[in-house]
Amino acid sequence: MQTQPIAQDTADDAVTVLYRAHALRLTRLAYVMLGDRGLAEDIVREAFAGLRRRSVRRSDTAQAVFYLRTSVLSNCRTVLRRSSAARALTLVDIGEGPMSVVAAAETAALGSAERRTLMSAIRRLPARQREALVLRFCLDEPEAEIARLMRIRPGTVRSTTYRALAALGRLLAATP
Amino acid sequence: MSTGHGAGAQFGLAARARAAVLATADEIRAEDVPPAPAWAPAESPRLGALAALAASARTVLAKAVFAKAGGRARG
Repeated sequence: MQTQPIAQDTADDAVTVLYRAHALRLTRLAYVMLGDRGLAEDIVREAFAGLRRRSVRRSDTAQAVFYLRTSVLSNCRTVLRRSSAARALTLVDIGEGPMSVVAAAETAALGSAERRTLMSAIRRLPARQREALVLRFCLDEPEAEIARLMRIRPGTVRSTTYRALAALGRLLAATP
Repeated sequence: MSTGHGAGAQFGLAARARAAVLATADEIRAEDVPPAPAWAPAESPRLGALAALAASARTVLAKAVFAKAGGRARG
């Protein structure tokens, strides 16, 4: 029995295809930003539900992916602004997660203690600096795309990343 | 800008930070993500609270706009 119009089914199929291609990466991005698996899943689910509801042209994959990324980022920012979430970040244990399935040699070489220290420092960076670093590392997209997502100029992405690394170095140096 | 030594140190730090970010991202495995999207509205009380907050802000704004428009109409 058909319960929805055919047009809605077609739209749902298009979003499902996008989901299968991008949900994992978006969830990872939100998880790195927030350090909370449940929140990351909620935010990605909401982004796809938003895509389904909105008039974003689902046939335009690039535009739809851009919508999904900006939606995830926007919700991550909202969560991070809340003080309760900020407290939760200090409680998350990032060192005891499951073994990586696709760990590259460089990630495998990094000890869990060092990773915990680095992630703790990254999460203490000012929001824009943290975002610039995480987007660059997680999405592996050109500077221009990061700039578009952050609504800043490519040159600002470069300088923000530079400042983020400098601040990260200072934070690590101050870590006992 | 950075000196040669500083740039080298920053490059090393960038590589370590990248490795930490990627290793953390990999904690979410493919099988952790549901194979199909859930179309039901998010049930999360956390996002629900956010949505309620946003709705409340929109209501306040709408009331303010209507009040202003009403004031203009009366004036």
